[in-house]
Amino acid sequence: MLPPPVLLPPMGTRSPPMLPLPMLPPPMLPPPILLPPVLLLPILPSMSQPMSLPISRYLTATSQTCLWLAKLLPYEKYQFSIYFDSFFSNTAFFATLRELGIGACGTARRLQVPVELQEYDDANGKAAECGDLALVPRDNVLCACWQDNAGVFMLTTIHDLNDGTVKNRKRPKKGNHAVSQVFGSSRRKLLTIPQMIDDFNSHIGGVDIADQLRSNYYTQLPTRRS
Amino acid sequence: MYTPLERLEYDADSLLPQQPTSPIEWFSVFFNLDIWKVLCDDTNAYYISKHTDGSKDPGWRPVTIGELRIWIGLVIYIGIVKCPSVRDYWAGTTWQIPMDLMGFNRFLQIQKYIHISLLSPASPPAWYMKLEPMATMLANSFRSAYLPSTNCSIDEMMVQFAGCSIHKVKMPRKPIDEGYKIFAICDHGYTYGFEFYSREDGASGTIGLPASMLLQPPMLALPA
Repeated sequence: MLPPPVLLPPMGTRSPPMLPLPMLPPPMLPPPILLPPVLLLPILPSMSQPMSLPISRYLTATSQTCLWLAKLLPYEKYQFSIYFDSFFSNTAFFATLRELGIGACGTARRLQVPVELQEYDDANGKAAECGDLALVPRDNVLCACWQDNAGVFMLTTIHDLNDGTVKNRKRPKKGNHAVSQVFGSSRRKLLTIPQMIDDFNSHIGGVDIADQLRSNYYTQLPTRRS
Repeated sequence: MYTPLERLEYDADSLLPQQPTSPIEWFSVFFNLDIWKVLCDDTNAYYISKHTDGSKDPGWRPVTIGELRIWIGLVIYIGIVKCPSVRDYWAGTTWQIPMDLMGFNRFLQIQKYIHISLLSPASPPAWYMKLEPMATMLANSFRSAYLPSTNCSIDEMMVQFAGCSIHKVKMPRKPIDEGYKIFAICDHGYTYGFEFYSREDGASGTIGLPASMLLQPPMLALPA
């Protein structure tokens, strides 16, 4: 008795042989890396006075406007934190908000952070490792310099020194040497970043979303320019 | 030494007694009857002030709130359905059904006399006084309808404007390179409060005030 014939499909339509799928390792988060040791720089003696002394802070016109806006919130009944971009951040303003019980967090421009941080960034800027974090408290506001692709200055009153979180970060397009050391050849990598950076990235866009929603309803009547 | 502020995170909440269901109800939450009354009164007052010499605009009759509601509705409709000229909307094609509610001449007439502010402003007038009763009323209805979540943000909004004004801001290399600047506090897309910006305000003597001497915004009555 012959074995039953095996029907082969005509040439050209035969599907390629199925290979067993390679066993992928289960996705794993790397163990959260502790942030580099906190660099606590000495506080100037004039600023280490007890907080009970009346401190007169002088606010710029922009900060005064923002303070007026912040006071619109029912901040005596509920807790709020407000996120700012670098146009608004300065330590006097953040400390004023803190006394009202309103938290604040934001990127800062170079001239708004203590001079120790500026010097740290100058001295360490090129040689710094990606992810280095330097912190200086000033007037109950935490000032930070975090090394991403470049130095990022942050001011915050709501984050603790060692708060960190793990995020899947994209490789910067124009990365420097330190970036390629961290990322190697991969486009994305799970990295530990400070909590203040993560919160800032998630909450800063509130006004831009409002702008987008507003732009759907254009109320200018069509006119022709002559 | 530094200690962070303790935060209890909570979500945003509505302060409305009941949720509106239709778009017009949502619109009326913010654009309430008081605003319509201000618009109606001030538009009629402006017409009278323009014709104190006894002259008349042919076909003018005092506007009513109902007419203004139609007019605002048409302005919103014109913003959504794009035509090259205002006249084209009344050209008679079938999809311009909303335009049956108001004639073209009446639409232009209201556009000519629409006015938000009263004629005798309080002294000294702010530079944005032409928007004033309505801007404050709108801001109050924004605040009374919504309780923002813990995380808000303050940023600037640009209102595109290419005319001549000392209060205009020019910022080349920005998406909107010239216009009025408004500072706003928003909660992920909900505008909770706003304030007009002008470089003139800094020169008016309020710059450099100690933080304790600043004006207090109006109190908001919260439900218990």
